[in-house]
Amino acid sequence: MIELKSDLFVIQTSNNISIIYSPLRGAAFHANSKAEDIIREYIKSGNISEKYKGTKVYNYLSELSRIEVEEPQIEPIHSYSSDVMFILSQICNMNCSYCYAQKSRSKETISMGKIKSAVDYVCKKTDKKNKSFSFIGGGEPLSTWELFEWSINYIKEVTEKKGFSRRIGLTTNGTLLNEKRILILKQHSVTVNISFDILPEIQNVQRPLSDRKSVSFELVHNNIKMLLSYGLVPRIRSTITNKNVKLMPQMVKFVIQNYPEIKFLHFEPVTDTNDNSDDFYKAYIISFMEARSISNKQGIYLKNSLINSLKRIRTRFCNGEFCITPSCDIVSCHRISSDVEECFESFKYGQVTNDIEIDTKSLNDVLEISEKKSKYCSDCFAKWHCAGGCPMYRAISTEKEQLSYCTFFKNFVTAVLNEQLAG
Amino acid sequence: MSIVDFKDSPQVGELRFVRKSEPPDKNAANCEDCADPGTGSENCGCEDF
Repeated sequence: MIELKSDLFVIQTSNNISIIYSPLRGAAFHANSKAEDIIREYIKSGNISEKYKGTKVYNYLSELSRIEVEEPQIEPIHSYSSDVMFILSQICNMNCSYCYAQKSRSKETISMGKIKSAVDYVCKKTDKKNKSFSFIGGGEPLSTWELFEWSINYIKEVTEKKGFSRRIGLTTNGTLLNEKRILILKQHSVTVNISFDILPEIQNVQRPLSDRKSVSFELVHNNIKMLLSYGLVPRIRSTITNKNVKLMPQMVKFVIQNYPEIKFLHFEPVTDTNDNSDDFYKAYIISFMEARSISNKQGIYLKNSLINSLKRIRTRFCNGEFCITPSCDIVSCHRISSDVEECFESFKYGQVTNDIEIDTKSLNDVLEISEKKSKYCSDCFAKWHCAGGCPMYRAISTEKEQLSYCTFFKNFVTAVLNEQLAG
Repeated sequence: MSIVDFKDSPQVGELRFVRKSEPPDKNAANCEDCADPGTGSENCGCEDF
């Protein structure tokens, strides 16, 4: 059991008011400087003076100390074998400014046989009845529509035969939809996630079509309208850069006005070493929290990966993915999808042949990368949420950039805790 | 802030349990607990493309 004193953190905010946070017990409260002194003494000694008996701070500590929590257990990395992610190809009809897969563009496409092997593999495991299949880039998944359609039909056939329930997710740029395709997506209950930067002036600049001249806003906007008219409500996932970091409230308002059926938005800070300055991160937090306040009032759930992290206690940021690339490699991160990536070998741990071949040594190496923590993690209040951060980001960024992200993560957690304590 | 800093007496705001389930994705099939049901990694949700 983890004692309360090891699970209690003082987070400085402003005006001599701190947040006292117990991450494993999932509890928090504000404290003034006198209460903070008492708590700091408690953290040091595990005791609270009897003279404070009957005070709220004493009662809170007593209440929290009665909650028994265990050290979170590390999950084995291969427990995700009921979830598989496909990168069907490296072909894309867009040329987005921040695309992580730009370097990997090629005509390479995964074969039906390899998709079959992967689907059969996850369906061999009978201990978990819910199977998840995601289609993501690399390339735009709908660039290879016939292959995508064949895949979802095969998934349906196998999961129904075995009596499994299934989730099929599609992350698409939204440009290659039409009525026929939408009906098929709906028929298969595919969860559609559109990568879209919402405001015309941002979408057209950051997400042009691949000729670099044609804009994409109208096309995606009309396709979202078409999805909605068929009752298939997508989620929107926007990338936040220096260009739109202060525009998040406007983005939410645009969605409310134009796509009132959409209730799930995801605004993620870009992973770009040029954009990710301390000023960018500060602006991001202010703008995101303002956008969140607007979205909350409208019943829209606005999130990002940091909020995902706050919802759970974890020992590592990522358990690794079971992601099949167009070259039929198995990688633990969909962003590292081809051997043109410098760190490709560090994320690759198997291959799809007629079966699934897992390389145990490479898998252990992947595990080791996932387990790595910074020297600053051990006494950090956010350690159970961040859990050392994204291994892919650690692989591509400098120590200075990682520290900058670390500060951002802590400031974001603080902002969300303040929101929850104030609300 | 829900409290005022009176330096001589310990003051605390309301104790809140802040880690609670987020609303389930109405679009998601059979999953109320997953961050990004069927749309990529539930860990990072960071598909910038």
